[in-house]
Amino acid sequence: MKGCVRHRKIAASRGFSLMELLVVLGIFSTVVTAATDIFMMANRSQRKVFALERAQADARFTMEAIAREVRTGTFDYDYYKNNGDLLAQPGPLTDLALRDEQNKQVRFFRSDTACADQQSTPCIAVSLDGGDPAPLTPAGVRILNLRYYVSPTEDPNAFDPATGKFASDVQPHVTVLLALQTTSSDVREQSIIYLQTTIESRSYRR
Amino acid sequence: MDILQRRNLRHGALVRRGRSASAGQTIMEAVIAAGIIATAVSSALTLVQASINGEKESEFGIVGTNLAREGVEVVRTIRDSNWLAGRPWDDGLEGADQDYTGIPVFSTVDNNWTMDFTPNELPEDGARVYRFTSGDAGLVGLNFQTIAPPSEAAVTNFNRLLELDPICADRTVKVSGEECGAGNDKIGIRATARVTWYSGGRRRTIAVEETLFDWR
Repeated sequence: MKGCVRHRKIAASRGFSLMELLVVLGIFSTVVTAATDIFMMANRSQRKVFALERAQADARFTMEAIAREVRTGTFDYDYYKNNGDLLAQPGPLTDLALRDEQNKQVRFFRSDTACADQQSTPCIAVSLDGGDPAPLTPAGVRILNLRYYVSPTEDPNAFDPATGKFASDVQPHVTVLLALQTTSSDVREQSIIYLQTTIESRSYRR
Repeated sequence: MDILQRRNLRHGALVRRGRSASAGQTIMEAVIAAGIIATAVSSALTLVQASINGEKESEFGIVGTNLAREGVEVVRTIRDSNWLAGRPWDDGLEGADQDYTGIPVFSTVDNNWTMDFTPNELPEDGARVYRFTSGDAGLVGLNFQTIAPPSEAAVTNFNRLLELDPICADRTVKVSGEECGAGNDKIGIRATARVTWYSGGRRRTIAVEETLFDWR
């Protein structure tokens, strides 16, 4: 009788068997791995969301900055003429030269040297009145694509006395194509946004 | 019942209670626990996915807004170019038989815009927006609209349609099939650019409207 009670006590207080331990460890490690995966996925998704927000905000800012100058200014046809007659060349431009209401030159162009940092290269740089270029796109985004489809290729305000005609009868406008990519070491966290719009100059000189 | 029998009975009850306390979960308990864990995990994942979808939605909204704004700018450009060329101010801004709905068409030759009044409804194929994906490197990435898309273009998620409803001198606005009539001149255009896209299985639409007058 006494021996039986002692046996029960020993049985109740003994440790886990190897099999029990292995099963518990297996379940525990599976749960921990799954939880870690979920946490990392949520974390990555969150960073992806931040990157998307960033790309959108920067693309909107960049597009608005360009649009405002185009609306209030005129195209700098002389700049294009003096730089290899760029507008006469086929294909779009990566350099938008404008004149603001004070007739000062404003250029928005693709740059590899004026960017905030190496990761954010290339960027869109802005140059005011021939001064040093400054980055328009901030650190954290780089340009994938920047194209300006300018029309007309001749200044509509240029009058040719010989023919008695203006060089063009088209109101100056530009179609801007912009693709921005956020910079991140992890490709899965990078975001790209493609924007396109057309803006017309509101300068009515004729 | 003697003392021994009573003691054995009590001992049996104790053993039963002890077994019950140290027994494993029943299948029902395990299923409920697994259900709770699955619900918690799937809620977190759904939240994350909803957040990503929301951002994508926001991106479509920004792209769509710019496309719509482009549509209105095209109308303005055509009107202003008509002024410069000495043409009627609304030349090219109205289709045959009082058709005021159409798509803006971009010329890759001279970067100019014209209107094509063939499409009449926003969801129809003719109002689709395409993007150059191959061919001329200078055009890759450019969004455009056309009735007959070239082979080097892919269809995008967007449709765009412009409504160029005339504004008459009596301040009424006419729609397709109507006209201002004699003695009631057309003095302006109510330009509405509608852009639609599918997101999350639902159709989203954005509209940008501007009134343009023949003020010159």
